[in-house]
Amino acid sequence: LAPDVTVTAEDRAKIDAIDWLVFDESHRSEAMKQANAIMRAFIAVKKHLAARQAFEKLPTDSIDVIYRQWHLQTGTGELPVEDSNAIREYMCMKAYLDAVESFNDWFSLYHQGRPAKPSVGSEGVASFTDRVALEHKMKQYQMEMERWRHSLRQQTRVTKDRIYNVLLFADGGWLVDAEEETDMDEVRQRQMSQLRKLHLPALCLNLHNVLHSSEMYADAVQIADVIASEHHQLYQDFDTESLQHLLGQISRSSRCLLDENKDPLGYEVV
Amino acid sequence: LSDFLNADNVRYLSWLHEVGRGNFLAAHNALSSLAGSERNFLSKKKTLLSLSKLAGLAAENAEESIQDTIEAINEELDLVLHQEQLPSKTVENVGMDPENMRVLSPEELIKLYVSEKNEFANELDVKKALDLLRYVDKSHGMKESEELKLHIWCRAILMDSWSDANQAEPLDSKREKIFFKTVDLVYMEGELENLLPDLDSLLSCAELQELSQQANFRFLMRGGYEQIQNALSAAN
Repeated sequence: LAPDVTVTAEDRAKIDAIDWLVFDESHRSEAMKQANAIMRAFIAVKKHLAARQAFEKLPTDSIDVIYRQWHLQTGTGELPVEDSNAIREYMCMKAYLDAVESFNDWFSLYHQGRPAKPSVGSEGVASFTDRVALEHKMKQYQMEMERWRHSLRQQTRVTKDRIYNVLLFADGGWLVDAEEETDMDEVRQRQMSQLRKLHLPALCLNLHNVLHSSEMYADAVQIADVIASEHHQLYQDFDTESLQHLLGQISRSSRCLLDENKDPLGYEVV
Repeated sequence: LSDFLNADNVRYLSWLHEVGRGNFLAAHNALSSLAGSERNFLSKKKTLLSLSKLAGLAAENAEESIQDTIEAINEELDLVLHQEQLPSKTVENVGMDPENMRVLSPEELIKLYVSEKNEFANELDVKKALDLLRYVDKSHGMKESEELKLHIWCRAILMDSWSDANQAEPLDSKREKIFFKTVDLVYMEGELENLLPDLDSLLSCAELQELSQQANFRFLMRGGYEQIQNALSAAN
């Protein structure tokens, strides 16, 4: 994911427009639908920062407000289908933005956070003082390495969980409505299915990248279980080419497992 | 090289080679045959099946030729799922680690679902066991599957105590029995005629020998069967 962090004036105007719908609580469900639509458009072009800003325009109590407003108006607790789908979509957006941000944090920690190894210098360790200084630096370096490894492990775990949150989104999957609307918004449906095809394969590859780079090769191979499962049907969002690419990546992890004297799936060879 | 990789001891490597060559159909076949012979680790079998499925889907121009094998893989994955859904306590009761199970055969799985080892078994477990019968049909034929079917229903009966029946409303107490709850579940799926054995063969099972002596039990079963027959003939 090459995150696009630019937020143009036009983007800004769209994001700020949500403010107008947030003043009056009775407009909150409309505000959520509009915010969702704006986020769909941003996410489609990977403008994750803009999407996050749009997400944050909605006060955190919005789901409560929508329930309360509906209850005030009709006296029932059962939301209309399009409102409950909108709430679900909003949760999907949150899960996705969390996963992407977590991955970006992992990415910069992995690539930029690694402490630099102290260099010996071209003239070698000539004097006693140089040697002492180098030893000191090495010790410091090892401590920093240990710290870095620790935070990388933490970040890997969080990122893995968050990406799985998206991949395994409960009750039907990410950006899939839980209930069918009688009066279906076809544009919205098409956008959601395109977003699935665009982002789910990429997320799977990112997840593989995270696990592989963190040397969790067996976990990296087991991604196949989730993608192939009939329950989640993630494989349907892959085209032939991206499946081939994924299998290539998985077999890369398998080769690393072979180097560790295990079988290609990470089990002891019997 | 392909010949070398097909030799028995290195067979588990060939799919890597095929994926590397871009030959996904061959990888698909190699992986599913590996999955078929995997007995030691359930999770390994699952991953082999999953990889095989993905490789099949990644193969170009093969949609039709692999349709059947993909379906077979889905059936196998379903079987894996049934084993994963065993309560971990039950798995421990038979001395296995729930996190690291070996592969159970469909027969073993059926027996375990309805066994005393599955302490909190209810009608859903009985139903799962019945669902699993189709795997036995395929591999062993009718006789064994008929025997297992009787065994499942006998066990469903034995999961309840039949002596404390409410004497005033005997047919109400029947409703609470796992056996009849299972009958309801199977009936809803329209499978009752295929799956429910006739009363006489059930009552003559060795497993029920003791219970079949009790008049109360026989009375409830006859009454229940009568209702079932009525429901079935009304539906037809």
